Amino acid sequence: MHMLLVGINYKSAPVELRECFSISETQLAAALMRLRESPAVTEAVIVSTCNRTEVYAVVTDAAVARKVVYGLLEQVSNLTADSFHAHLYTETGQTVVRHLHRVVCGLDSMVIGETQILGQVRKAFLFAEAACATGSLLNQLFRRAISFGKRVQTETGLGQSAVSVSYAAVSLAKKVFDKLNDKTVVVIGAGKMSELTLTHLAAQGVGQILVVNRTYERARQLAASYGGHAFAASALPFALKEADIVISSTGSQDYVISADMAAELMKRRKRKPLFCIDIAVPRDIDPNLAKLNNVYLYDIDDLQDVVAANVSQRKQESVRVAAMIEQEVSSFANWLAEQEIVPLIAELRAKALLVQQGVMQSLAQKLPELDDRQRKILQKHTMSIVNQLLRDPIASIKEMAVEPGGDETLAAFARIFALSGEPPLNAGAAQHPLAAPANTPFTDGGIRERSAARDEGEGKRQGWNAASGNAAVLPAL
Amino acid sequence: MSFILSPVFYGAMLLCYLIGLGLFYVDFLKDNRIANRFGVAMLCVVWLMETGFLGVMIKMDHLLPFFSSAQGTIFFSWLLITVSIVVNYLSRIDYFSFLMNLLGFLFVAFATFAHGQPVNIPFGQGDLLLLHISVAFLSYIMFTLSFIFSVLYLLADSALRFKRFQSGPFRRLPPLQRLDLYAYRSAVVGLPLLLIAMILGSVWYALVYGYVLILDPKPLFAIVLAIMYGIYLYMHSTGRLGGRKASWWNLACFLAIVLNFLVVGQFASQLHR
Repeated sequence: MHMLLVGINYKSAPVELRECFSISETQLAAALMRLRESPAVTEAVIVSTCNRTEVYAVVTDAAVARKVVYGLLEQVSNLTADSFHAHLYTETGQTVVRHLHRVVCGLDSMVIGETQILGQVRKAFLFAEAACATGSLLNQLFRRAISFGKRVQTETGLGQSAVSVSYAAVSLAKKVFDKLNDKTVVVIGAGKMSELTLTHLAAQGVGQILVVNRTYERARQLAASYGGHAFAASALPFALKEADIVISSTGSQDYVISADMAAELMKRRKRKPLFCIDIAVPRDIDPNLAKLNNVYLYDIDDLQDVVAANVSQRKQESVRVAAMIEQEVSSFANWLAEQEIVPLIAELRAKALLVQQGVMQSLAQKLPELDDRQRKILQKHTMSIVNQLLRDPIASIKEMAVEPGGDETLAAFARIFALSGEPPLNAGAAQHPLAAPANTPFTDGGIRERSAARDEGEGKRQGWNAASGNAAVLPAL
Repeated sequence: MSFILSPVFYGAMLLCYLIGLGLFYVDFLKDNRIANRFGVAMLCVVWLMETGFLGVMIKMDHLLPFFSSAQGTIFFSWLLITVSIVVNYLSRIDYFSFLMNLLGFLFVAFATFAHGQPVNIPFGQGDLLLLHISVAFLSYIMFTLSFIFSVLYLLADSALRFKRFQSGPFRRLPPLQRLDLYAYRSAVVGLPLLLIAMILGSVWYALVYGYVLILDPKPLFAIVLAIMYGIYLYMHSTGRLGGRKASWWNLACFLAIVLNFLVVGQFASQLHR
């Protein structure tokens, strides 16, 4: 068995092509069924979002399974494989595990650390599980990956800081105010950026929204969209008295809020903190406001600085998360090795038991005078010999199986004890689900492929994609 | 038992405290969670050592460790560590442990140089005095908490005002409003405790000596303290004082506490030596 991933994402293909591979929920069940119909595919999960479509599968024959996946993608996109295979990436073995972990924690996303993808992967997995398209291997892999994604969200700062200007304004407001649900937002000017920022604030559940605009009708429209109240420009002083958060983006050439006006205002509002975002250029709010006690004023450049600082922090965190992913990959490999050894140990025990039973039968024939008690004593002692003999080898192989080169050790163990083994053992190391297939005929055909050994990060992937500009020839499906 | 009271034990305690403080400082500078965890572990060690130290003192003197300034200071630092560990366990507030234990360490270090003699307690009057001292300690703890939250407020406020978006205080501290609320609430609890402690102290003195002593630096300074905190609370609750000005005022109040506790009590007053 092998683990296989075939996918297309925002790095490998433009949106015009990506959108052809989008698989809706209604199509998903049929797509999974088509994959499972092939004997080469034993388990499958399809993750389809606006930025990626990825097929994760456990396969018995990588070459055949790839043909099946390509056939599915042709059917979904109504394109021929020749037209899209240059934009696909294929992963096998451990690289699949690593890739999925990078995806769930947002390291592979367009905006590093975005958290939406975790929910999308979870949904895709649950769908596949409900459709009986998954088995023990993908169940374990996806559960571990989803749990890891949650851990990354809670334990690291990867997805915690704002990386858009409008959300940066909200995150700044949350540095000043403990809760936003009892706060009043005053929006001055009903421009696009104001509306965007208001969308984020409304999503946080702000208490009250007041929209002040030169054109009352436009103010009314915007206020109605968010359940707020509209005011004409003349009502600005009244609205500001109520304000905790001010977002201003008018086209005015003069300051809409002067420092003197704000100083007077602060006295009337009992010096409650006032948080101001000035998105307008030229600015609407006098910069001297920032000198007032309990007034926090930020302009568009400040918001850009917040975003830059957060992006830099996310990059730092991504290094830490990458190290955590390696631990998870190793832990999954260990789990897999343990699963691998269970049938081997069971076979060894069965074989030993067979020998012991043979001996007992022989004794019964040669010593017919033995009574029940004596037989039971002999049974007990021969079993004791078997158990004592097997204890150390079993304990050792459990340890050795998870060490580097565990596959070879398992093969040697099976050979020493003349165990038949199930398909993975008979086929040797190449058949391990985390091992890359030994023979990959599609590579010869020019399909873009990264083996586990060649996976050295995203930069390399992009470089490699760029380098292989010539369209490869896809074998007939 | 004699080892616990020996200078070697005290030195080891100070050293552990210093190491713990150093670890918190590393966390303070570098946002290092591992350093923070080891710092908490080291703090627990210091807490155990101080508990042993105070326990042996209680056993030897058959008195709670309130009746000399050196013992009282160690007891105060023990309370600070206890609060610090509890707060760390319940809700991790970055920088809180560092500041709390910086104060605790200064108190323990100060106790090394303080040589106050135990107060001579007339028979039957110990309970009232004990109550006076313990309530005063509690009020000091609450004012210390209030002070630390105000310091954190000023750090966060400065990061927000000067737009230091990559700084630790910007990224790691809770919202300003919460810090302000914590500082205010701690002082709200601390002030009545201080007033109760002052009344209990006056009653104890009147019972022992037959009159109420007012013209001593200690009670006079305590009245000044109560007025200062009263102003802080009144102005804050009515909205006349808020934001960083309120925090600076709170810092001034705490400076007065320190003066009262370490200077007036030690050197000026006849009452609290």
